[in-house]
Amino acid sequence: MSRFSNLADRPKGGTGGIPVEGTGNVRQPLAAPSEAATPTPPSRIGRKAIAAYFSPEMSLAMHVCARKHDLSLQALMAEAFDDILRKYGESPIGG
Amino acid sequence: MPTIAIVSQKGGSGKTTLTVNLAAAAEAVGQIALIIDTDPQATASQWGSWRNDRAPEVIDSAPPRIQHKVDQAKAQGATFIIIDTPPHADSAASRAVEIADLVLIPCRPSAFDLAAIQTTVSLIRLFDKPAFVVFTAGPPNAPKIYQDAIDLVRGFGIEACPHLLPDRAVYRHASAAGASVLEFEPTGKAAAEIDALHMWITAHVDMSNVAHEEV
Repeated sequence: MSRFSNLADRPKGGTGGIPVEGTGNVRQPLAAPSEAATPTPPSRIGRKAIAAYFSPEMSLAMHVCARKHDLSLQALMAEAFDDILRKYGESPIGG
Repeated sequence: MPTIAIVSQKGGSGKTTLTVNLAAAAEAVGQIALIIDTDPQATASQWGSWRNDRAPEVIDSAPPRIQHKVDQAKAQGATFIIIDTPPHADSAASRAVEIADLVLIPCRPSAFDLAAIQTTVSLIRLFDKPAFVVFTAGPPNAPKIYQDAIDLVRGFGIEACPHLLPDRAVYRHASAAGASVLEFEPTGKAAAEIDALHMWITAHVDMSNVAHEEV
């Protein structure tokens, strides 16, 4: 019995087996967990996603800033959005 | 009990190859190695399953759970933990760097690849971790190329690891067979290079632990 299998997120086994000779170099990605089968987390019910594209530096800085202040990226972005609303004379929404 | 993070924002730099072979080198000298695979593509996990989960063991982890898993694995006897991270994944990379005793940045000795490590370097600075660039997949005999690469890396404010891992076909053959290069060709050059790197890492982590204790 493997020593650390209790720490895995996904149970092991049935994820590919030994590669067939000649196709071994082809890295077949593991089956991703089915999106449809995943129920909407409670934190997302009744909420909308806002997405945007930034430089890797901006992404990294935001993630690191969130970690430093022990916030989620979500909480950090909510704070930033409220700040920018105030800056432009709008009322903050608060998440 | 070192925890090593393998980080590079660039894909194809040899992160997983470095991860699995270093873990195998640790096992070969009697350490209990654990690979934590934070890459959603699960390449290291695939390697583990190809070898029917023979040691070194591979487990997956979402970024927020890495710290807990490292603590737990140490309590369960792990003596060499290595965290493989995906490219362009700031959450996984920053968690891994935060937890690690030593960060290794695999990088090909080419200008494009080297330019791309600057983001990784800024991440490492934020957490103030000891880190080294490990040159991977370059030509075996090209001292001029490596000297230029070392100079460029120093210009970014980071040191290069003195051990090189040049491109060798055995890495591909071994991976496809679910093996490490130490198992696939124990007397080969790649095995000797991986062994030397592993010994260097062990010595380096021991030294920096002693240095921290003295402060």
